[in-house]
Amino acid sequence: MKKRIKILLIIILIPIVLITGGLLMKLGTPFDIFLTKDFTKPTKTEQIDYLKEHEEEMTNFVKKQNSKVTSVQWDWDSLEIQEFQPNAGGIPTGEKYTILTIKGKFNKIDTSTIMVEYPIYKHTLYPNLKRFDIVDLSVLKEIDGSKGWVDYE
Amino acid sequence: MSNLKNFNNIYANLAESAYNTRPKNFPPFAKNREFKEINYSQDETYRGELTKGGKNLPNKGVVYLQPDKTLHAEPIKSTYSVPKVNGGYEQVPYDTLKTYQKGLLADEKAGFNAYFVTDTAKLDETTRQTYLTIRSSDGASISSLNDWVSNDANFTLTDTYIPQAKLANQALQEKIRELNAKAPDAVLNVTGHSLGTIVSAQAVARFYQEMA
Repeated sequence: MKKRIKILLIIILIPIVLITGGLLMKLGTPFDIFLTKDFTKPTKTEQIDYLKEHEEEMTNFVKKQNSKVTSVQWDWDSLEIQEFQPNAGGIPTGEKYTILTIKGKFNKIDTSTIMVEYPIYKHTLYPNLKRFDIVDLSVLKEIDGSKGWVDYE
Repeated sequence: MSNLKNFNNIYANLAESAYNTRPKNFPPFAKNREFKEINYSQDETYRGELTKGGKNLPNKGVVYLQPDKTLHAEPIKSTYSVPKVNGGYEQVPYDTLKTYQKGLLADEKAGFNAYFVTDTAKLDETTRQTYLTIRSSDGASISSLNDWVSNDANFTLTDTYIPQAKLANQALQEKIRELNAKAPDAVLNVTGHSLGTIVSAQAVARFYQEMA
């Protein structure tokens, strides 16, 4: 190949490569999601979808543990995931653990609130629906002219 | 750290309740705008572990966790350096669009969390006992680093007035002012565990020093 053709090819190829690269960066590719999303962890929406699928099971478990509860109206958007590091006065002790909490109302009482806490499975990162704690089961009440939450009895 | 076996000591109960993931704990109610009644005379099973209801407790074990109405999401601000025309750099502030929880009794950034508890639903002239319970080092990794580096280490190695104690001192002053105005017959008890104790002791000591 003649030297002139080589130079010509380089002159043509460099702008093509640069323009293609620039366009790909600007417009993105279908693979970009692998750079921004952590596929090893479920998102909040995925956690909500999982709970929605198991709504009946969740409600039944709660009803079984506390007979005063006859129905639960879950507030899916209240879902929160928190990670804790067990510690003794600031020095970490033991493995970190994660819990998922979700709130709602119960027995169709407008001024009621229920909060349930689930441990998160380490291998699936989804909540263990069988091992849960009802951390709040209250109704709004007025005592001495002040409004507040008291345990539902 | 294991849970209390029973709720027989009101100060120990309140110190434990200030923590996350403990029986009858306060953090789930931190954002409430109304009081939450807690009854320590009743048994509680949490994570399969039973804590027996307390005996001979003041007010039969009933306390009211009062809301921190000053609690809000504070924007986290940062700065970036911009070169100046005649040399050097200028720090320009900008909003990071992130927030942290801040109020009289909480400062997420500083790792400070306290709860104000009363023996009546409403703070008034019938109130006799009130409590300020201060949480020790937090569970979350960033804040526990905060706690450990700026508080525990400082306290252990030097005689510094630690950052959390300054916040606790402010809370103490504000609550005493509130008691004087609304509940003149009430007593303010301060309790905590571990670093919570260091913070309480320094805050109270400073309070007396300032009063003198």
